[in-house]
Amino acid sequence: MRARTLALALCSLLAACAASGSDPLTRGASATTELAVGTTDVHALPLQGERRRAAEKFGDAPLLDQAGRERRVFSELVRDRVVVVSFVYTRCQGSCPGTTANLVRVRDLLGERFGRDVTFVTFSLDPERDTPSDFADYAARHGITDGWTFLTGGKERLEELRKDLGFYDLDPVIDADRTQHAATLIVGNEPRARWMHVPAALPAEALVRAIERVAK
Amino acid sequence: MHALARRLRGGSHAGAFGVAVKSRARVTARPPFVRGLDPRVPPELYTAARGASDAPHQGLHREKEKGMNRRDLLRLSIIGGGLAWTQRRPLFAGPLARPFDDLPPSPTTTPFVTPLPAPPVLTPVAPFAAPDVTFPPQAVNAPTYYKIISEERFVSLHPELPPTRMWGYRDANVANWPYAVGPTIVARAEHPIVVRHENQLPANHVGFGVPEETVHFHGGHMEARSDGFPESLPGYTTVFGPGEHYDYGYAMLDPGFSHGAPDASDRPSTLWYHDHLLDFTAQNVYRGLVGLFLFQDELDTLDETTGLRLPSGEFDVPLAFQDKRLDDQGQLAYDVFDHNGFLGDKWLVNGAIQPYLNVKRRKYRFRLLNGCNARFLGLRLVRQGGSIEPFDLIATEGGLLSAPLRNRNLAFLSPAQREDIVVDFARYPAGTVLFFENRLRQDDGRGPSGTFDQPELLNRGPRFLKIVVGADAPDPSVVPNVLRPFTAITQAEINAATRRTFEFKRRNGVWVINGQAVDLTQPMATVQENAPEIWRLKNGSGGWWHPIHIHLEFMHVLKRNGQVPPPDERDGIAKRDVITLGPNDEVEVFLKFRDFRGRWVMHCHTIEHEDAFMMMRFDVV
Ligand SMILES: [Cu+2]
Repeated sequence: MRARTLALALCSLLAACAASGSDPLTRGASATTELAVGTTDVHALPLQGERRRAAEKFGDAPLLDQAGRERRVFSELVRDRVVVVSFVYTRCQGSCPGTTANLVRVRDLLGERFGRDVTFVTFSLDPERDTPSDFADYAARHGITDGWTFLTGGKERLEELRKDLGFYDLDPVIDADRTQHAATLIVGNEPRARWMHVPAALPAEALVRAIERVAK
Repeated sequence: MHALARRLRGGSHAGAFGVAVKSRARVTARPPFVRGLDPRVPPELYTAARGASDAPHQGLHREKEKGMNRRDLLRLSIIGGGLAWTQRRPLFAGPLARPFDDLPPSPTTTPFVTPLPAPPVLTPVAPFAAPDVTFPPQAVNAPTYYKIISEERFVSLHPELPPTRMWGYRDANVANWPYAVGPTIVARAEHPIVVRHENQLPANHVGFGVPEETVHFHGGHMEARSDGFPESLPGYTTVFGPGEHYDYGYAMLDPGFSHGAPDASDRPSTLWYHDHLLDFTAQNVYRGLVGLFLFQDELDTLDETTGLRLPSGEFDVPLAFQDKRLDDQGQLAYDVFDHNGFLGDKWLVNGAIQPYLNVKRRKYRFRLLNGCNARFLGLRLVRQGGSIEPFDLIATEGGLLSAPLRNRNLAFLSPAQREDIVVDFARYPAGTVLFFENRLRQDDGRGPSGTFDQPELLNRGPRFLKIVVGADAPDPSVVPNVLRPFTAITQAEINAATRRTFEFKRRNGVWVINGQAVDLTQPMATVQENAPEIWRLKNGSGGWWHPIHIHLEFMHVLKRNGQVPPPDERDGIAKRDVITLGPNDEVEVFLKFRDFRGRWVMHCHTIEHEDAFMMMRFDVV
């Protein structure tokens, strides 16, 4: 009962927010998600239509970040944000180091907008081996501090995420071959329900342009 | 099934490393969906009752027609006997067996209860200043001016569904546009037109689709800035946002005009226009930014008492075929995370789900457009009871054929392809019922089953349109033995051509041309104006089909896999602006970029592939 009232309240709050046309890039990325506290069910969120569809894709079943904290993926890391999503694994000798290095350049180009208006989320492609401390080391190696969350956890959960978010190949042989994994990024603007893929190897300037386009 | 499994994820209360534990209750319970009226749809628009019976023939039937090659399939021939069909796509075992686009099925609707919509022809406006448009000096006729508004609107796709929020083009002279498809532009040879597109899409739109536009005149031969280049570049603005407009100038001159050799045999027939925004074309086109464009001249007069006397007026019917998916609120569903290619389960013609058309007992010209994002079509005209009926093919994307190809029984249309056909309903008694049925098997965005030469055709398929034969009617129309003859490319021109190879391939989850993802800031090829070119289009990606579209000029198809191409794309008979590359196909096309310099693109027209970077820029200098 109380949840329902709260849902309605937040619903109208969001509607007002959307109506004011405020730019998600300037809106604080720290938008709170009180409603979802204590639940891992995105269906309790007062989201409709296409925002709901994205919420279902990310889900809220928790994963562990590089500090070892449990994070609800959608509510804490995606909702109300402009995000850049990537998939890597710490032992990758193929495209991942390049992807991460490129994202570091993007982060530098974004300057103060990074962390405030745009955040990065990186999921593990090898959750059975990638531990939070592996990712802590990985982040340190690449000079990564705030605004960038590395997530690992249950294999099933991450496999499903990988597939739901389009990082798979219909050919099962290629799909099973980690060296041929999708070298793409998702750039998303959750409040706008606007999502796109970009090749991770695009020049960093082009990636920034793509982020700006999606963030509009 | 899968959608339910997906919703389970939200219901999982397991810790980060232990996802196996899922709440049992959720397996059977329906997820706590927020139901009721969709806030995106104004309540007053909810007028129609919901729910309807399933049509028994709506589903795909997996029986196959007996083994035939493409030539047999295309010719009207007796079906039966022959080789057993062996080529089938293997079914995957394991987790990949499921389709990843997890959109639930659309609500059911009763088929054939709504008449075929006929989006009206665009009407002129008073001339206005269009300083950005440049017409060549050869354009001597005064231009006609038009205005098109792109807008969000609610359209009834079916009387049993609530109105669907769409984007679409509208004639600025018409206040209310109840169609899902935009106005039909009709333009005459050598009569230039200026079309102002005004973007009135919602700036604060929430959902798939980006409210910025660049309008591509698909199959047009016009100045580069009016082609709908997908991205604005420094000093070259082609994209316009909400509140902005852009003027497009289509000279409608015959290719070769600037070299004193206008080629009146190189004129189009059925064209279309659609959005071409970089990375978001699939979403924007799927939302509805689509319209038809018909061409008229002294041969194809659109008057069946003059010129070639092809069926005209009410007997000349454009049919835009599209597939869509709707959610339980009747709203467009689209999986923005899936890049294999969108497949819908609702069959629309001219923006209505499974409409019907009453015809007279006489000849009709149908202009077939595959307006699907990723679905290939193998359309048969089927009489109720099952017999496959014949038609004459008179035009492809590249305009009227040299001569009609008669007694065909399959229109194979890759995304964006067009074919004009003539059906003679005088063959049938009044009361006869026929259907346009898609017999091609396609399970995902890779493309249809089988090969270009031997597509896998099913014994039944979804019916897009029902046709009911009515009373007699006078029929002065003919399908003459000669349509718009043109000469095939000569050996001398072939010898003189610059040869280039473009390989279309999937690599690390994206589609690339010659190894490169789209980069519109620089050309992958630079070609000389008016110089002969032979482009070898090669499909290097296992199992994937790619319909390849080249802007600005039509293609003369010289060879398909080293062989003479089938008649419907063979040089001397037909021209194309979309070439179907089936798995491992290699097609050689001749091109001459005659009149307009500037930046152009070539891309896959499975639009999700295009948006996933299978596009390249070429410059004509
Ligand atoms: Cu393709």
